[in-house]
Amino acid sequence: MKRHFGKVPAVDGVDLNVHEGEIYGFLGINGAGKTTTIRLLMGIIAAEAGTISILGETTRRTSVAQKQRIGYVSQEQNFYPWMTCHALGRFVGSFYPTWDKAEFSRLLEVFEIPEDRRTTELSGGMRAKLALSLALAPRPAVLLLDEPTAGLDPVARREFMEIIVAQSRQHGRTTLFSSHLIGEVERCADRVGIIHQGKMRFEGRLGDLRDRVRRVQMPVGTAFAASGYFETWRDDEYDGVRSLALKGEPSAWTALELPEGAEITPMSLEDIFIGCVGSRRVRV
Amino acid sequence: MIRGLIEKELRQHGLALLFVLLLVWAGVVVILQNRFLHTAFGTPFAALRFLLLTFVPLACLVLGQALIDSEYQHKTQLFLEGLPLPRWRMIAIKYGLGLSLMLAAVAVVLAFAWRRSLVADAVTPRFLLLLALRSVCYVWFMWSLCFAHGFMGRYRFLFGVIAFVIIKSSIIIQYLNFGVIGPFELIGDRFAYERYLVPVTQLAVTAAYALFWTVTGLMLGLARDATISTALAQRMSSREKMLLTFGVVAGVLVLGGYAERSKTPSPVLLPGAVETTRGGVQVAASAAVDQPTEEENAALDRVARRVADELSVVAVFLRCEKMPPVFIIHRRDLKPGTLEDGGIKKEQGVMVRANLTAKEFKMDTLLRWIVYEALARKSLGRLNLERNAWVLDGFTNWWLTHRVSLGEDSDELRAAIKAMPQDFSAHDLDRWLTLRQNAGKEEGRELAATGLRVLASRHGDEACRDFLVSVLGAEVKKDPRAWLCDVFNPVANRFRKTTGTSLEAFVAEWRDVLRKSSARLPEETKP
Repeated sequence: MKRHFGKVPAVDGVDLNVHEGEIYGFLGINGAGKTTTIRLLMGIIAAEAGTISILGETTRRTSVAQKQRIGYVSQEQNFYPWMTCHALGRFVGSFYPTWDKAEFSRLLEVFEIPEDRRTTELSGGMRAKLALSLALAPRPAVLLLDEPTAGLDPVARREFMEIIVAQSRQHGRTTLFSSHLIGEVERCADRVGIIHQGKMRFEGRLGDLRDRVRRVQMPVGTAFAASGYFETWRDDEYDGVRSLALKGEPSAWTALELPEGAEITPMSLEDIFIGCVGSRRVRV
Repeated sequence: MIRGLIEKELRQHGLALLFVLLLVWAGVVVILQNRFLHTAFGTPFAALRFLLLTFVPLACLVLGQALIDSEYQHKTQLFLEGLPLPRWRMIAIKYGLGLSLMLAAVAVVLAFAWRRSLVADAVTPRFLLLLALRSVCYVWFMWSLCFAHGFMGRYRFLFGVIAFVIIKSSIIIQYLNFGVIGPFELIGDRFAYERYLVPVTQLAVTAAYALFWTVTGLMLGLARDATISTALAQRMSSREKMLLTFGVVAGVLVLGGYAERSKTPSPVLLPGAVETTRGGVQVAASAAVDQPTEEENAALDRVARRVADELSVVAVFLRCEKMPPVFIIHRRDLKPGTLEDGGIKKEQGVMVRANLTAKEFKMDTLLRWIVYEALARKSLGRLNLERNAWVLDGFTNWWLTHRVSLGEDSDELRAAIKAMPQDFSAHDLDRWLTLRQNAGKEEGRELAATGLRVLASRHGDEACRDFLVSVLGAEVKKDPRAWLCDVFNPVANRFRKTTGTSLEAFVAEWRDVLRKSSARLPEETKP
């Protein structure tokens, strides 16, 4: 998919696949293009190029019928301030043929949200839970969550993500959630996609990512040049140690010949993410 | 889906709906208490017209703000966009709901007016249909305008201010008669009385306006996935606020000034004045005394005729159709030789006060004063600008003496030689008022007059006349076009066009002539 805002390419040829029933973590720094991608998937904005395939139906822009099978939680909850949670449920329910009123009430009860309270009287965490209740009540096949935990405290964030994982596992619901919090993605996602400057930098299982991206460390001045089978993500020097983050196929790693004093170490997802989207070269 | 949205709108905008109900109630009250209306207009339908003119625009504005603007301002449209609802349907429901409410309100009032009028009037179905058609079309236009206005976000107040300024200044300068514009003509004076004629043109024009604003509103709401309306709904930055405030204030000042200048000033009336007209020249002379003497009456008559004769010749020479009217007031108490400006507005003409019967009174001095002032006022002050002033100065003195040849030792020539700077050039003409201040007023004027004499003698009388016509005789517009004309066609350009010589070359000629004349003067009379 492609989408520009003025001359700025917000999404520049993003190609991602979310398999049925999996939880997909969509990682990227602020302004990477996560929200635009999700808004494209929701049909809120139209793609300038590309197609979207949801539940086996391919279109240029997501239709109303498709949207009725998607639960969506946006980054900011812009509820009508005068509505109570109950009224909001009734209003939203009128747009979904599969709306389950009882399920909505049950979710509100589980999340401890009073039905008769106005949306302005809810805390940030409760508003996020209300948004999730509204997204889950029609029993959607797909769940799209755009940084749903942004602005929540760590406890509320952990609790919220646990609910999402439990819901998705229990109902086999395909879930895509965006985030820039690596720990959150590492804990919840089956697969991840990393987006940077509107382009997909990586897509795959976390294990695959760790197998492919590793760090090679050696004393500064050691002659070493990665072969063509590797992509250099970072090349840093710190405290007399040269540190290279390289991406290559597992077979290439097996065949890699290291100079004397050099060693290969595994990387955390956070290091991989920073290697992927951070500046290419840092010298201290 | 649609029902849910309509319910939401009705519950959310209770206050706006209350306002529409108030509109209906006001209409009904006006019709019920129509003793005044009945006396003044003779029909309850006049109340409907009153309602259409006053309450309907207000109600449309309130509804537009409530249904459209509040949604975007509170960003709740982002919430709606996340729901399985096409954007066009959301906007269409708002449009349809607003229009339906307004039409329903007006229909209630129309029905009430109809019932009321049955008592004393035979209301035919055709008349009722005409009233309904006019009302519906007008309400459609007004609602469409307010609907589009609702999408203008942070610029909606600016739009309102601009509309107000345009309407206000149009009323002041009477440039635009709103009564003849489609929608307003539709509910004009004949609204409550026209029973047969279908106002096809007005209906079509109003429908076209309504359609235009509807499309504008829809485009603002739908174009580029509503990013335009979302961007417009954002708050203004402080820089934007400052720029807009400056723009609005400057616009109001410019328009205000323009409106003020465009006003037609009231004519000056001099009761008992001696009036003389020669073509486009009008001269009135009056004595500021209770009972003028015969000598004073004769002086008034003589002066008025002489001034009219001279000004009409000036007008013919400068190819002007009209000169500003001249008012001469005789005052016995004024010192002989004193000429006092009457202080009327430029657009009203020239007024001078003088003691016309004093022995020291000189007709030439009065003529020179009047010719100068008449031409300066005719140019709306543009000939008093520093770069143009030398032409007017020169003409005033040249005009009265150009028919006689001046001697080589004349006072005029000596004054001109005295006023001429050492390195006299075209640059001095651009700084004329400074030169005149340094040299003395009369000397400066004589220097300019000598220039015109040189022009006539070296380049021919016709070239000299053409140049003077292009500068002094040209019609000056009462708007920025006068300034633009001055900037893009300055005196130097006009000089080159009419004489075929550059102003620089001519000033060199002028300087040489004066230097030679100076050399021929006897030593003891040299300035």
